[in-house]
Amino acid sequence: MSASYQAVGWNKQKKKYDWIIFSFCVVYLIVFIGVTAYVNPDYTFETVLVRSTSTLALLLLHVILSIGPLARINKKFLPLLYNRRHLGVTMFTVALVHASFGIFQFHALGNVNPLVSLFMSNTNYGSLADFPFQALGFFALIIFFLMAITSHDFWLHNLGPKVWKTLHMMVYPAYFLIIMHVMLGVIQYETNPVFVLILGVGSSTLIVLHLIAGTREVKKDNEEFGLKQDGFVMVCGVNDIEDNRAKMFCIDKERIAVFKFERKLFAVNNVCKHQNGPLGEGKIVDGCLTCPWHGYQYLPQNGQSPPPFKEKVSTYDVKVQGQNVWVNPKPYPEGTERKGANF
Amino acid sequence: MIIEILLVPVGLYLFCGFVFAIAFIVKGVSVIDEGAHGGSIGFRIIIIPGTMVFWPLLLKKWLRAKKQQHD
Amino acid sequence: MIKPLRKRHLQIWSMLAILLPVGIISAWLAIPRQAVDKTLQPAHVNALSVILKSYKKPGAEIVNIRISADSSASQLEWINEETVTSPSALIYQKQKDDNSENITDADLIGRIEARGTYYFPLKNESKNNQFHFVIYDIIHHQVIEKINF
Repeated sequence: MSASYQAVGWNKQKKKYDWIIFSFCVVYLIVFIGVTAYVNPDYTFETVLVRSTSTLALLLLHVILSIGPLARINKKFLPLLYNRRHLGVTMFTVALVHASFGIFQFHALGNVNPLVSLFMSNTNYGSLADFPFQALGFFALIIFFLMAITSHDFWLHNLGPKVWKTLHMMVYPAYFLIIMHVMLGVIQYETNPVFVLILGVGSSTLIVLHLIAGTREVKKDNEEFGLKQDGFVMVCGVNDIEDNRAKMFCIDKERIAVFKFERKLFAVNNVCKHQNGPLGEGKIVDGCLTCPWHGYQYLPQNGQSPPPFKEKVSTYDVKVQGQNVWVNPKPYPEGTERKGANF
Repeated sequence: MIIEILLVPVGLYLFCGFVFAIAFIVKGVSVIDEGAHGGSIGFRIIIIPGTMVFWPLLLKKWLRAKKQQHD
Repeated sequence: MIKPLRKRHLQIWSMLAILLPVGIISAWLAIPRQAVDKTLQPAHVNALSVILKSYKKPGAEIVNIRISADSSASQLEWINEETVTSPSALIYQKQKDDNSENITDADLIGRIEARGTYYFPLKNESKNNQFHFVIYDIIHHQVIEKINF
């Protein structure tokens, strides 16, 4: 969908999501500040702001990181994936407020540059209990910053998918840094075990979700197909594929999506040209294969995006013998018309 | 005091990036990416921070695109 | 997502599945323990109910021997009316008043310093209900006071 770039790709649905995110953040902060003012009236406003934004950012980060595996485990979560980018930028903004007030409160009131003070005021890098945890948060924030400023298709296009994806996978080390920032920071003196418990539950949930989704996907990628004939591989039965939906098969290097549409079967490369989304997990909308991630569309018979868009994916030969579907994993050049297989 | 020594070049790099970003969003962005044609002003503003960080890469792309135009 | 990326995701999370618990647990174990106030004597010593004997030195101290209602335990109650000015003041109990300044055979009962009420358990049953205490400055090695009653 190489139409002209806009600042934010808003549509009715995304606006609704963004309003929900925004309202949630505002309500969370108000409730946190209100409760703290009631329970601990002697806390300064900066302290309350530092704490409310930190917990909000941490909560958002856990939601963001769970969306990916949840969407793979259950398709109902796909709409969240569609909107994850805005959630990410929101999380960065909240974290930035947290960092700014933290640096202001602890480092800006002396005669040393606050950033120098951040690294030099505590140099116990060899100790766990006195570790300069703020440095950990700082590096995580740099990663979130780089991710936030490149959260636009312009950057995906101009940095290239490989660099872009690598940059955005830095969120995992950043998550580790954040957990340690919390554990070596506030947990060292707010020693109520409830906080450790909450953090433990949060990270173990993420670990379990990612391991479940990850093992399933890798297992699917390593699936062996026994029957081969003239370059074709038998993949499944005709009735295994629902109408207007697809099944994916990793025969050689990459997955192929076999779609059922108007009593015919078509096979295209599973990887969407936009952000490498899984086309085979989408469905056919208005006669086009529609990527579940960001709604990029392709015609089933030739793998081309309908004009004026220019994206193309490879197509493959499919045939039906008896009740079985056979796919030839040799790709045709991107956008090549194939007639599909009747059944 | 490595931090103090590092802060200066980092600041300088980002400053150069900012100067580059102004020229880039006015002219360069349309040269290297056809998606920018007819792109909104909001889009141009939103890519400024990224341009300040990744400016050497974009500069290279811009020069290459210019050279291709001439050829 | 493409195949190598799916594999990379799984690898990263397998690594995090080890690193995160290790990080969280070791940081948790590293939480410094709060320094515990070691009081010079247990905070919740209550006075035993019966005063057996009493001694009073006006302006200095009141000394009571207290016993429990069933006489099974005895206790020294020391009410210090003035702060002790010697650098150290240890209470020793002697079996008899032997007029010597020797404390090698005496039992160490406890230490007094600031104003307040001190309680010390007494081990030895006293013969004839006679009590002999020596207040001794262990730094200067000299007797501060002798109490016999």
